[in-house]
Amino acid sequence: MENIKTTTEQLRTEANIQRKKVSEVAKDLVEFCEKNKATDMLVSGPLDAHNPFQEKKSCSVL
Amino acid sequence: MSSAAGESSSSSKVPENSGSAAAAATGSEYLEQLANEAEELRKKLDAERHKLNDIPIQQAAERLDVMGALGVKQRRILKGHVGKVLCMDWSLDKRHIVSSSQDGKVIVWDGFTTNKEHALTMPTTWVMACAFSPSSQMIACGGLDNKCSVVPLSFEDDIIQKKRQVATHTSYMSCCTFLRSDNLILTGSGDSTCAIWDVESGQLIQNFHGHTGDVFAIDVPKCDTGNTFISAGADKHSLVWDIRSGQCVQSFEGHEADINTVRFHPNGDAFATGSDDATCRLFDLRADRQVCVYEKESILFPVNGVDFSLSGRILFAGYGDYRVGVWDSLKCVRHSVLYGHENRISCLRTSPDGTAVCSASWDCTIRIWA
Repeated sequence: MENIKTTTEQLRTEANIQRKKVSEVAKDLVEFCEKNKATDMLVSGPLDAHNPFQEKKSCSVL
Repeated sequence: MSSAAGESSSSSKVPENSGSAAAAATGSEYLEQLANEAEELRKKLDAERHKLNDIPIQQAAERLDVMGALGVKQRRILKGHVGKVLCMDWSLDKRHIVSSSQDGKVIVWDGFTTNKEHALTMPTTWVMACAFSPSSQMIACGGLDNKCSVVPLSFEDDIIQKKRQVATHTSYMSCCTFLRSDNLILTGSGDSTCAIWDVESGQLIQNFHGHTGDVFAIDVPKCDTGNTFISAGADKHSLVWDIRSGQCVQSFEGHEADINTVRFHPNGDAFATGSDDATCRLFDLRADRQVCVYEKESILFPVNGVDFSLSGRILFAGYGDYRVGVWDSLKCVRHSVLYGHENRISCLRTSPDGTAVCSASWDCTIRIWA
């Protein structure tokens, strides 16, 4: 009894959510990635050739 | 008290019986009404969500260049645990790491030098969760003891003596994270609830009921301006919660088995999950639905840890087959694989500034990739 009551309440809440199309949110995700691409060291490589976790290696190469 | 109630019910036996029969009738009618409404709402929700799925995300990402070679490889290996490493977390200083293992050990590492700065032995084995506080001056941990304990970090004395219990669940604690400050902890548990606790007083601030199975993972958005968090677990659902009201505000389905891990996209509007069904999935809060599945026929093992690179372009996934998969989150293809671990990966996290990704494994090691 309590269970179905809460379930229905929950569904009512969820039914009232405003939703966006996948095309819209996908566009936002693409834009977010593009905007932050330059500072994403795992994608674009270290900024000013400086990543503390890569230092050791570059030192040993030098 | 009970005899008085018995008396009154026997003295008014006839009217009460008929009354309760009527109540039962309306009760069952009401129940049926509710069930019908729930069914209608479910159909409506499915239809709505389906209607919004106008194009696949890959199509929106078509104009993007394919990611080139990344140069990401193993840079550090942290050795010291003698049991399976079950969890790890980064300090916000982007340098220190806390890890916990099946043999009851909790270790704080300097990720740059690989030195161990603190090593604690907990009274129970299977320390399934550990977390660094935002100030980096405290850690939280727990697991099969059903508890979340905090330990302040200092080099002065035996810090284990300063250990304090903050939270208690009725089953194991599977995950924990500090919430915005050193004063609040969010926990998830095998008792199928999540809860927020006051660190100082150990008081329960809010609990979250809604999952129908063990909670395995929680996450709070990085740009934490809203008042939400997500949780996921054995019921295959990811739930979004309102922290203030304790209400579940959104529910996401799609996975075909336990969800082991969940992480917000850096934009705070989407999140990724990893599951025993060998897939990772991307869900978007604004679309209120799944937007992508990251899967391959050749991948058969569970995903135990997922996290994004700083821009969200890469989704890293740690698998039960010892490998880290590097997925292009937008083109939805696997870009590459990182090899190194010699047993299943249990946990994976990108460093707070996105310089590196760290994985913990049942091979007793923690590895840093950059």
